[in-house]
Amino acid sequence: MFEDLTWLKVTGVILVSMIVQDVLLNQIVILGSHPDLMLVLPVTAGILGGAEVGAFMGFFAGIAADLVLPTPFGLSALVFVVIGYAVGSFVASAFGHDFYSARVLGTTLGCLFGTLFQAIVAAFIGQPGILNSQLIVTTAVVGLGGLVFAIPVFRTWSWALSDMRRFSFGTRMPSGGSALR
Amino acid sequence: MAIARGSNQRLTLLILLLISVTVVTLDYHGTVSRGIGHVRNGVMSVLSPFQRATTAVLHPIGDVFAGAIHYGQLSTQNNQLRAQIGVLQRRTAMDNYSLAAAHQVEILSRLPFTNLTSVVGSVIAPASSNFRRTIEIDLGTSEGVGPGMPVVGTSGLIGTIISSTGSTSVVELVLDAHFGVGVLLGPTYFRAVGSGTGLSLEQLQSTSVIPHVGQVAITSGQDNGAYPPGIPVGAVTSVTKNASGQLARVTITPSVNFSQLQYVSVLQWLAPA
Repeated sequence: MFEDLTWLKVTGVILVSMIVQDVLLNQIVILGSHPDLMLVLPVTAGILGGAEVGAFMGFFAGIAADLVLPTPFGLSALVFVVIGYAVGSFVASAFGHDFYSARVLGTTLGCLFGTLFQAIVAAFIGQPGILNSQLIVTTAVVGLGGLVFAIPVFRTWSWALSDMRRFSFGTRMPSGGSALR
Repeated sequence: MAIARGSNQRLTLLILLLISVTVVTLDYHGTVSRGIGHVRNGVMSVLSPFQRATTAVLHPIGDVFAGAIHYGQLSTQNNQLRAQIGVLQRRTAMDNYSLAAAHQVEILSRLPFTNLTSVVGSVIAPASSNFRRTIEIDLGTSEGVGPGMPVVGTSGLIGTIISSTGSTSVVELVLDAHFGVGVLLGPTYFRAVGSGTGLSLEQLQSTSVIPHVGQVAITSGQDNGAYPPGIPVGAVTSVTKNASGQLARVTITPSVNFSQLQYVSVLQWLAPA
C-alpha cells in the first residue's frame, strides 16, 4: 500500500506523537481530562487519505497509544480503526478534502464522536466508571484538542504521506499524483 | 472499479478489526498478558526520564504562577517596582514550595497511622488515560516497590500500585472505578469502591447501621489483607436513603487532595498469598 519511505515517516510521526502525548500533553489537565493527540492522528489521516488510510493509521496509532495506557491492550487500536475508517468514509465526503476550515471542523467532530465511541466500547468490554458526567468534560477537552492540533497534524500527515502512490489494495492512484494534495 | 475499491476498503477494515479484537482478547489471557505487560513496562522505562524532565520544568512554573496569583496585583506600581516585586514573589513562592515539599517528605517518612516500612517518592505524571484515574511515580522495582503495594499520602490512602518498571510505577487512585477497599465506619465493615470523583459504599442492603456525615472511614484489613488496617480513606459526605428508609447511597470524599499531590509514600506491604 505504501512506499518504504512512507512507512518510515508514518512510524516516526506515530512514535513522536506518542512521546509528545505521554510526556507533554498528559500534563495539560483541564478539569480532570487532557487532550488526545493519538486520536487526532486517525481522524486527520481519514479526512486526508480516505477510509482505508484512516483505518491503517488508526490501528498503528492505537497500538502505540496502548503501549502507555492502563486500559486493555488493543482497545485503542480497535476504536481508532473504526474512527479512522468512519471519518474517512463519512466526514471526508461531507466536508470535503480541500479547505482547512472544513478539515478542522471535521477533525473536531471526529474527535468528539471518537471519544464518545471510545467510552462506549470501553464500557461494553467491561471497563467500569466510564459512562459518567466526566465523559462530557473529556469529550469537550479532546474536541478542543482536535481543534488546536488539526492543522499541524494535517501538515505532518501531508509530509509523511506525500510519497503515497496507492490508496487501496491493488488500486493505483488516479493520474495527477497523490490524493493528499 | 469503485465497487472493487469499496470491497477492498471493507476487507481492510475487517482484517484490522479482527487483529484488534484478537489483541484485546489475548490481553485478557494470563501468559500473553504478562508478555504485553513486559513490553509496556519497557516502553514506560524509556519514556520515564522524559516525563521526569517535563515535570521538573512544568511543576515549578505552575507553582510560581499559583504563588504569584495569591499575592494579588499591584496595579499602581511603576514597571521597575513591579519587576522587583515579581522577582521577590517568585523567590518567595519557590521558598514556600521548597519548604512545603520538605515538610511533606518529612511527614511521609514518619506517617502517624502506620509503622510499616515505606519508601517516599514523587509524582512524575498524571493519568495517561482519560478513562482511568491513575498517576505515575518515580519509584520502581529497584526501590523494592511492586504491584499490590498500598500508596499513601500525609492524610491517608492514595491507591495501589498496578504496574512497575525498574524506576517507575503506575498507581491506581482510590477514585478509579476499578479500585475497591474494605473499610470500617466505626465498628461496621463496608466495602468502598471508586466512583471517578470519590468513593461510594457497597453492600448497603445487608446492614442496619446508618453511617453519619463526617464519619471517617479507615481500612479494615479484612479484604484478604490487601491493605493494612488503620489507614484513613476518607470521610462520609452524604448519606441517601430510599423511600422505605433503607440506605441507598453513601459517598465518601477521600482524605487526600489529589489536585495537590506531589509526594507519596509506598508501604512495602503485600497481601498474604
